[in-house]
Amino acid sequence: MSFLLKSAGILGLGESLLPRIGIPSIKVGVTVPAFLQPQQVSEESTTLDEKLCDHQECHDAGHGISIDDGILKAAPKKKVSHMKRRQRLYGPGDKQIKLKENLNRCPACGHYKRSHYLCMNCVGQIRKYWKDRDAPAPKEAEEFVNPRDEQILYPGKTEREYEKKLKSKDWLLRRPKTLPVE
Amino acid sequence: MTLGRNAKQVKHTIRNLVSSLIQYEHITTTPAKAKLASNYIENLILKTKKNSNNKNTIIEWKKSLYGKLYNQDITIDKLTNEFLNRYLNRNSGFTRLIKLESRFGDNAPQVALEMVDNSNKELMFWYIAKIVARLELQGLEIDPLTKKNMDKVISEKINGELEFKKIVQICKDNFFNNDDNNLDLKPRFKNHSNGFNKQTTNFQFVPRENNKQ
Repeated sequence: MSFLLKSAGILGLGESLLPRIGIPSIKVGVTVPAFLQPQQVSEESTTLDEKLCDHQECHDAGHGISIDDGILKAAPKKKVSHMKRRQRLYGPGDKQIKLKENLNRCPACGHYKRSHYLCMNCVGQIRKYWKDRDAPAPKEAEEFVNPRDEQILYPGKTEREYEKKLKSKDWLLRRPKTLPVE
Repeated sequence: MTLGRNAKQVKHTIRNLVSSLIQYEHITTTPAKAKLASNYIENLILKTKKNSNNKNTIIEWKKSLYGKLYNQDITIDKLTNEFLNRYLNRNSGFTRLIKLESRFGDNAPQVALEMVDNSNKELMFWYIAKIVARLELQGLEIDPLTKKNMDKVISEKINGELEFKKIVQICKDNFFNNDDNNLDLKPRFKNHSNGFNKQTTNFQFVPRENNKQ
């Protein structure tokens, strides 16, 4: 429900005025169906003019808290228990890791591989060879007559620890080798 | 549409894949894309074969290839010269799909797509060469299944046997040096079959008949 809870007003005026001010009033500018609007209970003490005045005050203050804009939304009634959640997420058999039955021996290296698939260890070896073979030739280093010249032209760079770590590439995720057959 | 892309994007992906396949002879993709690309390139090769008989038609065909490939300086030349000679005796089956383990990260199924009988990067050829290298290092005979695969790979290739011997030598030098791969430390294979499948004994390679042009 959208209440304009003008808390400051309530605290300041005290208990005697509570029924008058504590009645929730809808924030202007938001369209709310008539049946959702709060019904006033006690009509005896207040006239229409007073109510209008109150409403105006509330609106002018403008610091009320509005919740959900008068619309009721679906919400779970109870917290899902530990057991029920785990039953739902991890119980069904098709969500669990399955055993692979289609295993073969790789004829090239003698380790396990999936049937109808190539052994990734052998493929990796072959691809690495291709990469090294097709790599462009490294640049030849310049030769200086006076070694002093080289020092001035290329003073060098101190390599930090984290740079060394990055270059080593230990952090890369690699495919583990399968177990040997027999 | 296919691959979750619209027609224009699919066209470009296929065009990209095919032109890099022509350039590098061996690519790795997902099976859905690989099938599209292999269909496309087989069609292109068939049409070049058809149009190569007449001088006028081949010129027109080359012009139209500019709209079908990228990297036209390299690819069109290669398609109209090298591939024609290589696939004189073939009517179809210019490409080969090999299943690989799925990709790290998103676990997408992977496939190696390569041109058959290429001299640069033919994975099948190298894999069988590695098997033969292992057998020779262990001093074993070549088993029937490997013999069949060897004949199949070598038969249509230009200088097939020489190339095969070269690559077997490379495999011997490079791939069995580590302690992990050292064959002396390992138990030998007890029989020719792969230990699981019993139907690997009586295979024979039947060469393809040379088709008339």
